[in-house]
Amino acid sequence: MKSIIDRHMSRYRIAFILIFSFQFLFSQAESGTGIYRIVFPEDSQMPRMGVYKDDIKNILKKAKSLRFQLVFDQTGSMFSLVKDLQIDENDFGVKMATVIFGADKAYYTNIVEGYFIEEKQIFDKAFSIVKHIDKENWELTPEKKVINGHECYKATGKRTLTGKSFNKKTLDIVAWYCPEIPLKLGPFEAVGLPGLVVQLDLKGHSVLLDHMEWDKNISVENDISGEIVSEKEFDSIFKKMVKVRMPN
Amino acid sequence: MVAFVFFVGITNAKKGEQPNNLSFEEFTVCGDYATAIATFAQLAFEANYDVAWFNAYGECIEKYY
Repeated sequence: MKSIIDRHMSRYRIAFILIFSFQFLFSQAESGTGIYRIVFPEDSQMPRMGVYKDDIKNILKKAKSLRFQLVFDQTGSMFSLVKDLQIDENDFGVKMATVIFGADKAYYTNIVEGYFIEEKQIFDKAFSIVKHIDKENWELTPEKKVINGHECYKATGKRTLTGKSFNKKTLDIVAWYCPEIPLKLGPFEAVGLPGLVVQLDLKGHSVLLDHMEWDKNISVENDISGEIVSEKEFDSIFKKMVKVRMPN
Repeated sequence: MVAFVFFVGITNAKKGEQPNNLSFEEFTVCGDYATAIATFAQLAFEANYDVAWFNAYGECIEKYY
């Protein structure tokens, strides 16, 4: 009887120590860097690559070498391509992968004031689009799975994008957030959820947290400097700039 | 004649060889190339078609002309 009680007590002790350690960790270092990478699901159905399949395969290969950084502190985060990434920026595959997989964009999130800024490039000119973090953009579901040892929950959302003839399209996106990492942050626009977004599922690929480094000395600064415009203004500018350059 | 040169240009570009340096080809060959890449990027990943197209077009011009 005594041994059963002892066994239970030791389990409680371990659980208490684990919970305490976890809380201690976050109270000591609520800042750091998360590194994300692009993964392609093994069962994904790719469209036909056609005669340029070698170039397309090169783009996909280079996409796997891209790394994104989420630098965060208690106030928010800065998400962008890793600054000193060892890639050949003049390589065709790298250039195209950068554009196709959003590595030419940057996001500054201010979680305290409830907004994020998306920086987009058009023909080497940068624009900043300010958006409010809206919880209604996400639908939380009870579905969960373990990713890299973290229990994560599924949230579904929408991404608005511009189609071939400047038509607006919406894309279903899925964010896997982990409440055990209490940061309302994540890659790209996946912010405001009750836990760090460890995996963001987009069309044909996912952006997955590779590893995290905690560093209490990190503080987030807004590096975004492009001309501030609304999303509507950006769409109008984009349309004009493309039309001017598009051969007849 | 124009049609022949046009055909040779496209065929060479598809093979990855430098096509004859003809101004008429510039858009046609690289436009064809950019359309193929951008279409794939949009179908596979919902990438922004126009941005992908212009980048692929620019790369093609730089590579072949």
